[in-house]
Amino acid sequence: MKPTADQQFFLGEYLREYLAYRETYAEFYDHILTALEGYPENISFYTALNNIIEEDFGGLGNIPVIEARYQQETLVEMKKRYWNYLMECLKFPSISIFIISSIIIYWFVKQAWFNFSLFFWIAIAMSLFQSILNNIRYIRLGYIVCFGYVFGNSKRSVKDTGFTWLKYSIVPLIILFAAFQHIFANDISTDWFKKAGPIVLTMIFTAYTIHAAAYYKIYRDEFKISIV
Amino acid sequence: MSTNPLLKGTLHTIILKLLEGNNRMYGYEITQKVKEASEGGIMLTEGALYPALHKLQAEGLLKATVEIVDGRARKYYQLTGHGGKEATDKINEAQAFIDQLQNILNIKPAVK
Repeated sequence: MKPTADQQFFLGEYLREYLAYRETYAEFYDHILTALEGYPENISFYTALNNIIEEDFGGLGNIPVIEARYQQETLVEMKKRYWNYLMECLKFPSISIFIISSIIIYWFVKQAWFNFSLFFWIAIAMSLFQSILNNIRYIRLGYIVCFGYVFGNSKRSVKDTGFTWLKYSIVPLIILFAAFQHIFANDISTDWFKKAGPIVLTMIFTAYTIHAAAYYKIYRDEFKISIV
Repeated sequence: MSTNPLLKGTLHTIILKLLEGNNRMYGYEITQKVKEASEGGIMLTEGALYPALHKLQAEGLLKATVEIVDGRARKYYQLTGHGGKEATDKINEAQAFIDQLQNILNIKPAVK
């Protein structure tokens, strides 16, 4: 059978109600429409639809299970890819860029020592980078998001959890950066701490830039998927 | 998947084998190909196919591309370089198991 425009619309709305993610929505919608085309005309659209959902997806009740597994797999894959990108940064030629940038950061930290306001703004910029990139991603995906909720016809992506994890995974490092610079800047540290200060802050900042590079690569990957 | 418990654990091998022989395939196409090749004996049902495809993709054995066909997005899966090697290994492993099973099944009962 060839589903009519109304039937296609009904199917879209029906699936929208039961599916949480845009990826599974697009995939299941295509699967069901293709399967419907293989059904003879003398079977009703609704009977055919129920048969397909029952036989191919194990029923409507199984759909959240499939989506939950998909989300879990995606999270594992994103963490693995993030780790690989981190490791890539520590290999030649990327490592040479990070060594040079570390030297520049060290010099910068030494020069700007005790300049509390400068470090404060660096820490703020570090935190904002994650959120800005995440919001650019939302806009590029066509989300209508307000206070963390998705509205309108847009659906969440299965990758959202992975991006949220990436966004918050670096927070302890930013807090560490802020805490260290506060200790040093307020002159409440020991002499040893004062000597080690620039090195510690450079290490934290370099770790952050490596994370930011890996995070950016994962963000970039999402838009590499070819839509012909 | 088919209700036959013997088929459990072979779904990944089936998918990898099909994709080894075809450049790229989409979900529904895979179910139809399996049905056709097994003459209706094996049906990828109960929602087993998509979790398997997503798992293989997460493991880096498959990569997916999306194309617009008839005005809707269609997700095609194909083997990665690593997936190609894994496909060969899994098929060899399955073949060796079938051969061993065949040998066991061919043992003639002892004459009393």
